Amino acid sequence: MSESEKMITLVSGEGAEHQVPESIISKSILIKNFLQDFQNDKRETTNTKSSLMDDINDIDDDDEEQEEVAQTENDIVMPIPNVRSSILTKIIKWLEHHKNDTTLEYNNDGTSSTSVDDLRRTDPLDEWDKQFFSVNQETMYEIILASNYLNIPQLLDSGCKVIANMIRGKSDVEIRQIFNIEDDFTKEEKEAIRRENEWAEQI
Amino acid sequence: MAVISSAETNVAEISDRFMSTNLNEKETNRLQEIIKNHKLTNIYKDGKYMIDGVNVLDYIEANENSQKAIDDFIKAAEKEKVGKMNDAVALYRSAMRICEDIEKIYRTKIKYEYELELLAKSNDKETMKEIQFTGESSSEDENLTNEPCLLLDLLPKTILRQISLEVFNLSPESFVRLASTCTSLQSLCFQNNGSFYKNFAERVYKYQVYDMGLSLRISAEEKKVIDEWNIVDYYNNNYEKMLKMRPYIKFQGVYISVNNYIRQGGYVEGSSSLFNPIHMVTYYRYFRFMPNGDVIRLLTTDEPSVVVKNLYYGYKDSGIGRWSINTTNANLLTIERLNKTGDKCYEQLNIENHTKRLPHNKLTWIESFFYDEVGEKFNFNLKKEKNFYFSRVRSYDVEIGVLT
Amino acid sequence: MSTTELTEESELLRDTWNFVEPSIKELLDNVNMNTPMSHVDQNCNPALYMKVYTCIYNFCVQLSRNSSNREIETMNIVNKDGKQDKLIYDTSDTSNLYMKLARYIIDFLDGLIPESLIDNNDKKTDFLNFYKKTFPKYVKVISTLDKIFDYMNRFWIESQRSNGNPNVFKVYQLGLNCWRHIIYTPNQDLIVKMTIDSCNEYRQLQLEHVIKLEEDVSDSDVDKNAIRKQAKDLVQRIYWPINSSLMICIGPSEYMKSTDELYNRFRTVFEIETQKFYKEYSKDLLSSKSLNYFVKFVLKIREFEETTINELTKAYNYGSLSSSLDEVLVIDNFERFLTSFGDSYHALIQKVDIKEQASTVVMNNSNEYNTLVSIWDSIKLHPQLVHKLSEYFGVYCTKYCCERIMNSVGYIDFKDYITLLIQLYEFNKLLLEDIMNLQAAFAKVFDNSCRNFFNHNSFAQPDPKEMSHQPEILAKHADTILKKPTKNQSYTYDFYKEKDNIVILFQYLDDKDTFEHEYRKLFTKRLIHGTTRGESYEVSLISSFQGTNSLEYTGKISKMLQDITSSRELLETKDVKFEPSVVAKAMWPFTEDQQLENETMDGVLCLPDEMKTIFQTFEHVYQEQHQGRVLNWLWSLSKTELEANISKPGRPPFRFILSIYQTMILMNLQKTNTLKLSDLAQNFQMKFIIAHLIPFYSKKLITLIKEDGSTVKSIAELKNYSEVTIKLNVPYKALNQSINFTIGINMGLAESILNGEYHD
Repeated sequence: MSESEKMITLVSGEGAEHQVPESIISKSILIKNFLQDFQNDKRETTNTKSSLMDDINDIDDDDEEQEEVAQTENDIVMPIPNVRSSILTKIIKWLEHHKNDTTLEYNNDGTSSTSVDDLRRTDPLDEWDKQFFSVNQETMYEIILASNYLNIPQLLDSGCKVIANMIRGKSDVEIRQIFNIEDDFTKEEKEAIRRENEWAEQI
Repeated sequence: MAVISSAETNVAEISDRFMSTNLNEKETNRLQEIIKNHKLTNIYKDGKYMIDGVNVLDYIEANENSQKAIDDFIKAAEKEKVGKMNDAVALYRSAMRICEDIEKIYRTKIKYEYELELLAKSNDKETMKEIQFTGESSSEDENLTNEPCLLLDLLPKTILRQISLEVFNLSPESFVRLASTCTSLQSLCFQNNGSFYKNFAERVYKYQVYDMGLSLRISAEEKKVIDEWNIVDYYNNNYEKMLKMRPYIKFQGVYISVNNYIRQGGYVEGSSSLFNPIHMVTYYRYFRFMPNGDVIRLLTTDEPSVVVKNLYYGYKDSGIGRWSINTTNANLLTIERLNKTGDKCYEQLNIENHTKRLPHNKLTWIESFFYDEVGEKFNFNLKKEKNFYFSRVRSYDVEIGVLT
Repeated sequence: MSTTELTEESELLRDTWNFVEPSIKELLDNVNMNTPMSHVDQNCNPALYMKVYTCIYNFCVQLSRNSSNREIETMNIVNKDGKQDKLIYDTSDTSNLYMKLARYIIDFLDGLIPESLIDNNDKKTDFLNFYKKTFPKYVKVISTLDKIFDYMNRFWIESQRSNGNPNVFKVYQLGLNCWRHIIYTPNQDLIVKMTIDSCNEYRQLQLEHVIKLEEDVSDSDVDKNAIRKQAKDLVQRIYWPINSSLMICIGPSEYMKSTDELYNRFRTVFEIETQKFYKEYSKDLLSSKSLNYFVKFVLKIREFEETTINELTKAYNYGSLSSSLDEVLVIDNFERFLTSFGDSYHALIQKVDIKEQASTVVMNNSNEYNTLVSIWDSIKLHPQLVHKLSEYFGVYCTKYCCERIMNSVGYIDFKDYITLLIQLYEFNKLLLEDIMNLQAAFAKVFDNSCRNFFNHNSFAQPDPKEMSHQPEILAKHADTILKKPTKNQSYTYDFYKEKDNIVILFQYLDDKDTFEHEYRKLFTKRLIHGTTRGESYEVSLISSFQGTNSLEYTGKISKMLQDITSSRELLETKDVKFEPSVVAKAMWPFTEDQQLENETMDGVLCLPDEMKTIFQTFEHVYQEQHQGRVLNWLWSLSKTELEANISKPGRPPFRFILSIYQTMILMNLQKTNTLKLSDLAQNFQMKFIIAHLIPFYSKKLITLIKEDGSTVKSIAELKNYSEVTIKLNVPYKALNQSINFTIGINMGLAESILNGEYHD
């Protein structure tokens, strides 16, 4: 395993193949979950645990033949139907840039994936990421969507932070302006909402 | 007297609005410009803003009496806002004497001006647009407004909520602004947005200073919760409910109590009046709480406009006390300090809701006392003391964490 | 199974469900008795994984984009057993998808239970066999489902949860919850019963064949393989039901964590059954094996329960079960433990010997020793039992140690007796340290026992009505090791080791006052006669006494030593070496006799001139230094060393060791060669003169001549001493060059001669 790193083939929505090293793509919890649970099992079982635990887990009847499912060590091909090639390329670029980051530990116990709250981090926005997201809004949203789809919390965070920074310090009018938001409030509603929300400013 | 009392309630309401209206400098300039040219606006002829068939501003301009009356009334309202009741009553009286209908005229004027202010803001937007898209024709301009909002169309709610949360972390004000852009963002931000309330609660409760041990942090009812650290369980995991019910102290502003007392004055030399003149003295108590457990206290006759922006450690005669909340005992807020002779003084107040929508904004007095050297307790008379109300102060807008 | 109708299905939901359903089916179909686990492990491939995930993702995102918030309604889902679980859902399509999934799983599980197996008694095909074979697979499958429904977990369930709807679960928990309601709860009693039965069976198997004491002879005719296989099956039958009860019990508010509700129900029964099992088991064991065997086996049982059984059931993580087990194994049998303890201890004490090290005794009797270890390990966690055992130990210790000493009386001398005491002490101490870890109650009891058997045993106190001789024995022993060995003897004792032993014996000595008195008596002898092994040794032992007792206690003893050392520095003379010993009267235990003598001797004045000056000078100097002190000479204790040039010419002079009287006599004879006894009688009492003369006479240094010129033939004739003259025999003939004339001074003899009572 060590001489050359295992490559995963990602197939974009258009059918284009992208080769990514396993360590890099593991930032995607979606893919990491798959690799951990369905690929690494064989390695684990060779580890000798306590003999009692071995007994406990060996639930197959002895008389039944242990058919060794000869799984060919084919490269793993993961279809990523929701993501276009151009976006996938960008994401791989991002992953490569961040490959040496120390990431927060996400729980891998198989019982739960991480929640939005757990991922919220207070780090300021990475300068490289700011550059990375200086694309048109549509592409930006596509990247964010893809990171949500592939469950790459760090990238999703960055994307949200970029948008949050666009909103920060702007008036409601300006915000509508930037994002083409249609103002569907009546004046009375606006006033009512202003009063209603006031408490949220008071910390 | 009946007239005055009704005026008081109105003024209270108006001043309330006054407080919540905050304009930046650019907007103020624009507002003045608009007011100057208010006749050009489309609400100029709106019947709502007519007095005797004439636009309210024109009416005032045309009528010298009402102009003087309105000036007095405005002054009176301002005096009342800062609690100078003596002056306010005098001014209200004078205004009423000049023009009986002045209250109605004033209210119409305020509403009209508020409308103009909103116009000023939206005008602002247009100018901005002009700046941004100089050289583009107006037809393209229209196209632009019709363009779809990709943000809302593409991103699912979870992501939008996460964005709103990031905005909230950057600035609660921007969060509120984002919410007031359109109905779907409003509901997205405030309805079923558990993470936001959780975040808010964490931000708020993290810096509260509680009496002594953990057990005192939890109110009697909350004790039913199995996990002592997870108090929110008591509120069914509902942080919104928790924020409404569980008291907290706010740091980005001051609590002000406005008090009046009447002082008997001497006869004015040569006066034939049968009554002694009386002076109404207004003084203020200011509390500015710090997340490190300090509270800056100030007792002065200086008005908030002077004091608030300067109320930091060591300002004038301000003193420092220590504050803490005891939730087991009816949301009790205790402030402890040493007076000049070195005795320990305690002030105990209740944290209450001002109105339903402004929770924990009011502090009401319970007791104020000190122990002398022998340990005997002396209570101060609180009959004349008024409640404290919270006012947001923008210049305090620093990260809470930084304050500690 | 009846559920309320779902709200109208949208086309999107229908399409989504139809798309994912075959994959869900494919996964769930692995859960059965026959699919091997290895196959279940590989139930998912990238294509399936991404296909279903993407489908669910798109479904959720689609709904999330344009759906406005809808009203939340309450729906009921009814379980098979008619129990209603109230579930609150918003009526959006996501909740419908969730409901569909939930229902699908419920339906699947419903069809899973083979009804025929529930009452089956054959272990190969019974319910528990089904359970342990399907549950692990099921867990694996729902964990896969959880992964592919990840987006629904993250998006919809999270938001439901964070907005205060506690009744939706992530897919994994949903799956476990369904298992609970469909499989576990309806069969709970059966599962608990069968699990406990399996557990008892497993215990029986392990205790009988696997866990053994060394003393058991291994029976080779057992099919080890068969036992192993059987054990493996049982282990699974125990582990999976219990473990599953922990996994599937998900609390309503904390949906991440499971609660112990179901498990606790099991544990309650388990505890009772465990007690029952071991009550029965220990009864059988006691009836078939020896008591000592039982005591040791109890430890093995406990170890087995607290490791293996606990690993399977986790039941010992709660304190109560350990104590329940102890109750039936230890507490109920505690009297037996005591008996066994006493027997083994007795056997060990019998083996304690003068010549053998304590550790050797332990080594040679490891069986008994191990019994003690086992008993201690069994009871050490019960303070009450420890206390009781310590009391018993105290009784046994005194009793058996006394018995051991009694058995030796007649065979041993006092030195051996001391060694035996020390050996007994060391041996008990070794037990206490190595087994009881010097537990406080034992240490206290042991001290008392030592006091008992040290002082009151049949050697030191042959007659219980009399006082114990222990103080005398000990003082004598101390004297033995502190005395200079006589000629031709080398030091046979290791002083420091003996000193430590003395200190130990001294600590437990009852009558310390007697000891002190005895010790001073012997000490005086050592000092005056110069027979001590060395001052440093004396000091060392004295300070040990001081350490274990008070300063006051050793006050007199140390003053005695001090007197000797300090008076040496008082005077130096030229020709004659003078070694005065000025001692404080109160400290020294002189006999009446010696004191009386002071008065009778008329002091320094009567001494020969050569010596008189020395004594006078000393008296003078001393009085100057210590005014007002009365200086009394203890003549009888003085000793002189004299060189007498009375041998044949060419021979070296003799060295005489003499008393002061003898010196005086010889001095007087120096000039005249003869001396009338009547002359001496003027200054001294005759009985002293005669007493001191006798050694001269018997060693033929002098001849006694009567008035008539004849020599005295018998000392009886000295009765008429006034007629006798002493004549020095010059040249003196003797074999030894150095002669001690102080030996043989006998006051009693002198008195009887003078009274005429002496006859040859």
